[in-house]
Amino acid sequence: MVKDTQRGAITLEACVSVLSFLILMLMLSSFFVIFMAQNVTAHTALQTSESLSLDVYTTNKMMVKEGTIGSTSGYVGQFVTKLFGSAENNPYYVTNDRWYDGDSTQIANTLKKRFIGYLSGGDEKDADYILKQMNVVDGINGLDFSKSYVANNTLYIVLNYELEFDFNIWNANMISVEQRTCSKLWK
Amino acid sequence: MHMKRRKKTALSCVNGMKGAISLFLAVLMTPFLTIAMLLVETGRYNSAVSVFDEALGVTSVSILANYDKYLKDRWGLFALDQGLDLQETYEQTLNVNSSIMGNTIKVNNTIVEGMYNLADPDILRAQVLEYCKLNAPTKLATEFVNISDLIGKLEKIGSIGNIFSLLSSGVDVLDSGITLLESHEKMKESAKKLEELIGKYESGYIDFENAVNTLIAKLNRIIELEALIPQLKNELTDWEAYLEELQAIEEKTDEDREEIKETKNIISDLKQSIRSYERELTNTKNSIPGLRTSAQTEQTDYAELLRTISKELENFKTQAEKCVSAAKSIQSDLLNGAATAAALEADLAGKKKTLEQAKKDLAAMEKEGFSQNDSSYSAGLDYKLALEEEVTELELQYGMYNAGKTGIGEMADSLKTTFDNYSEATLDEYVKAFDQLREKVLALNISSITASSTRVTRGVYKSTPIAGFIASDEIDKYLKEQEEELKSGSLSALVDGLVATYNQLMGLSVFFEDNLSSVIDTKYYDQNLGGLPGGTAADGGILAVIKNVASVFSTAISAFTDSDSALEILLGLKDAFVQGLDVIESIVQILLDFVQNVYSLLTGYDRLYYSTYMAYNLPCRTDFSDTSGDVSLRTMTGYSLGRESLPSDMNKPNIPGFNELVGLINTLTSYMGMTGKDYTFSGAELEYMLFGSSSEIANQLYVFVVLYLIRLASNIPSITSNVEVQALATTATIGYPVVIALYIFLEPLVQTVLLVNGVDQHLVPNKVYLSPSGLPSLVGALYSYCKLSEAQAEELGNCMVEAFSTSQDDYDYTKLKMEYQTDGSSSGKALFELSYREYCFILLLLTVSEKNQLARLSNLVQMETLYYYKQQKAAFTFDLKKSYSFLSVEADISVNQMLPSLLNASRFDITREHYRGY
Repeated sequence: MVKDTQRGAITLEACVSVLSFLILMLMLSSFFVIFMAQNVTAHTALQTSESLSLDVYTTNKMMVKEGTIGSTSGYVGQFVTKLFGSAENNPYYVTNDRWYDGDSTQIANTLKKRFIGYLSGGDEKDADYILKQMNVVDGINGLDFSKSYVANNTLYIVLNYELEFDFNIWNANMISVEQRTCSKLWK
Repeated sequence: MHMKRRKKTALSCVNGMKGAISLFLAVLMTPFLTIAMLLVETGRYNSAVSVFDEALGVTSVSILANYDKYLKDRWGLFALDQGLDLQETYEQTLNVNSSIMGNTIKVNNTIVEGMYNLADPDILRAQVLEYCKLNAPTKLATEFVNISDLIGKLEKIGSIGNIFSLLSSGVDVLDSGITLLESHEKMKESAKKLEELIGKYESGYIDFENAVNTLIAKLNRIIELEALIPQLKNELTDWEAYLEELQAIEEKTDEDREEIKETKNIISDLKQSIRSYERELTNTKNSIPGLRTSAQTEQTDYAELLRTISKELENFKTQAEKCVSAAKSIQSDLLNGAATAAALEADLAGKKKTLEQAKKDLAAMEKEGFSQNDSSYSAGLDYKLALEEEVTELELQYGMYNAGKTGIGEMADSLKTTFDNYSEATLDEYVKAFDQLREKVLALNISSITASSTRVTRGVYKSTPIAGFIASDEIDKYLKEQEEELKSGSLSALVDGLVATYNQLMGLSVFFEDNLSSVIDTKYYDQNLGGLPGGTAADGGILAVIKNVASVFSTAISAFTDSDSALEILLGLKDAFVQGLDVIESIVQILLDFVQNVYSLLTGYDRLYYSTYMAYNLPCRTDFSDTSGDVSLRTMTGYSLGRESLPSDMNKPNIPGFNELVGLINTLTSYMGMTGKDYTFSGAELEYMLFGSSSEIANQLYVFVVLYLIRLASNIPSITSNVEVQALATTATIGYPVVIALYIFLEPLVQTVLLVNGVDQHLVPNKVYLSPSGLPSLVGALYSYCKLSEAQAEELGNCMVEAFSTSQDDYDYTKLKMEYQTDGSSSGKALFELSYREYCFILLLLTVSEKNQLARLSNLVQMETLYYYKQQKAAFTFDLKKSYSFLSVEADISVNQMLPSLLNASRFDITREHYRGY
């Protein structure tokens, strides 16, 4: 009888305890992924900020007003374009647009493009895949730059997105993330 | 049923396997989880620090975006805006950027400092070179063809040694001319002496004749008296006897008494006569020794006079020989080593033909596609250049020969007329005759002269007339003709014209732009900023040489202008020429030393880069516009310097012009170390880069003089071989080398005046402004560029118009001027012509050290930027020493943790150092 009463106790205990620990471990893993996602987006946002703020210098000095700045600058502009690629050849790293004079949509689009450039080298599918791997809700479409703006010749990047837990057994709410960075434009 | 009570033990809580797994997990998994969590935390920490580093980088780049706009736009230099609160701005930006990780990172403290300011020459150099690596090549690509051509021409400065030697042979011709005239002068003096001796000859002879003949006469008188006195005495005795007879008559009649009386009278008369004759005899005898002495003296004097005449005739003959010899040596000097004139002409024609063929060969090679690097093409090019030099030298020699020949021809013609009646042999005969005459005179022994000696007669002792020489009037006439020829001929007209042009030019306000006359207030910078960043970077460079040149040049000019006789003119010409030639040679040597350094200076292209930067970013005097009254320049950095960029100097100096080049140098040196009231220059900044004085005037004058010297040295072959100059110099006959030398001095002066006033010039131009065809363009350029009125320009041109009219029969200035206005006044820069700025660029390359260039640049940046911000009424005083190009950041941060037990642990605090710059 005794034996019968204890039979399955270990199994039952294991089911409860191990499961709890496993859940804990998975939650830990989820946190890890969240941290990683935040790190990756922070790094990319910072690089985007720096890149775009410097981009303005090229746009202002060499590209846009070519021929009116002076022949020397014109030559240099052409040289730089040939060296680093033009906006047409590599839109994720170079832009000729005066996006900083545009509206929030234009700013957001430019930011997103550059963000993708620094995230995946300009491959949108890859970027989407990476973001989804990091549990960013809707991947690339889930990135929201619409609150970004330019004020006092400074670019303020405001990146909003949602993260979901890797192991969301209780259907917990998404984690809303907002990351901010700023960089003065090289005008 | 009795149940057995179980004994309580330490493990009594253990109920078999119950809780084993929980226990197992609790014991094992907790540390495991802790370690796992720690690893996660460490990862978070490392990631956070890494992201913070990035945030620091982005923040620094963001702060660096606050660069000084003026420094960037005007100078192409990056430095932080001095109006920025660096610490506060940095902290604000960093706080935003570091918050990208949420609350993970807490910035505790940040220290931000600027470093590597632009006053540091290494930093300035690095930025200038960085800027120029992309910009300078494009600028140089468009300009370097001309510049390399110029450097090539400068390299040729050393190959004009033969020209100096040829010109020096002109001094030999002048020397012969001087000897010719000197001999004429001496011959004239000799003739004058001979003419004076003609009178002395007569009087000397008369004295001699009188003395000797008087002696002889006296001796004869003694004889006569010695014979007469005894006779009278006998007669007296007779009369006394007769008287006694009469007195013895006792009865004397009246007749007797009358007879006695008459006899007594006769006796008395006789006695008186005898006494008188005896006295005369005594006196005459006494006078004989004196008369002999006198005769001997006259004989000696006369003999000496005859010797003088003979010697003077010989002296005349010597001077005459020298004249003839000088005329002959001029001929050989003119040929200067060539066997004959025909040989010289043939040599020149041959060389010209060979040169033409060499040019054709080169043209053919070019058509075949040979490049300049090809060895055979290069050899052909060298051969052509060598031939060109030879032809230039031969043309100079031939020109000098022809000119000298003409001059000597004229001299020789006059000489022929003068020497028409002159015969050396005849003169020799006269000399001989006088020597013989003298011997004859001396042969007369005065002590042995007796009453019977032969009297001195003209036929014997004055048989030879003074003749055989050329009358002094004739020689004087010849000299006056030569003087007239020198003074009123082409030589004088040309020299007068050139000297007048020089004098008038020196009196004009064309050597510096008087609207650019700022003098820096160095005391302001000393008191407020601890001095200019580059210090006082003024460097005399070749100023010492220039001083000597100016001094010698003035001496040479005055040596000519102060002369009035033909001989003095020639001597003046010779002095001027010799001194001038020495100066030119010394200048050439100095410039050669500079030029020989060209390629070592250009090693690595760095010098080329920063010199390009200076030359094309700094305004110079030619950027000043009279119309707008301001400097206008679009710099290499694309910045437009205009009305507001630089101060307009209101205190123009009152320097209307300079009397001499020495005056110019004196003004230069007196302005050199001045302290004024200006913050920056008005527009002559490129000139400051070349000299470094706080006075804009001194800087402009220095550049003028250096450019003049370079042009002087490099234009010698082109001026000496210029067809028009040669033609003009030929009309100056023996003054050919002098005219050439004056052109060598003055033409570059004129060119430099035009160049510094904005007229582009080839380093070695084909045309000569001070020539008949070049004069209209000179007058036009003076009027258009040099702020002269039309009347002033014409007045300067007129200095040469008269000279050309004298030299050329068909010279028509008005016609040439019309032709120039119709055809020759086309504007635009011709191939290989360089602007004033481009010449300054070459000077920078060759004469200013890197250290000085950078020091002066930092001073200019400081001064101009300070002025700009003063105009902008900025809240700060611009100081280049605070223009930082780098940021140094030290940030203390804490990384917040997930694990509560580790909160505030020191291992989660870290200090990050960060450096970022332009």
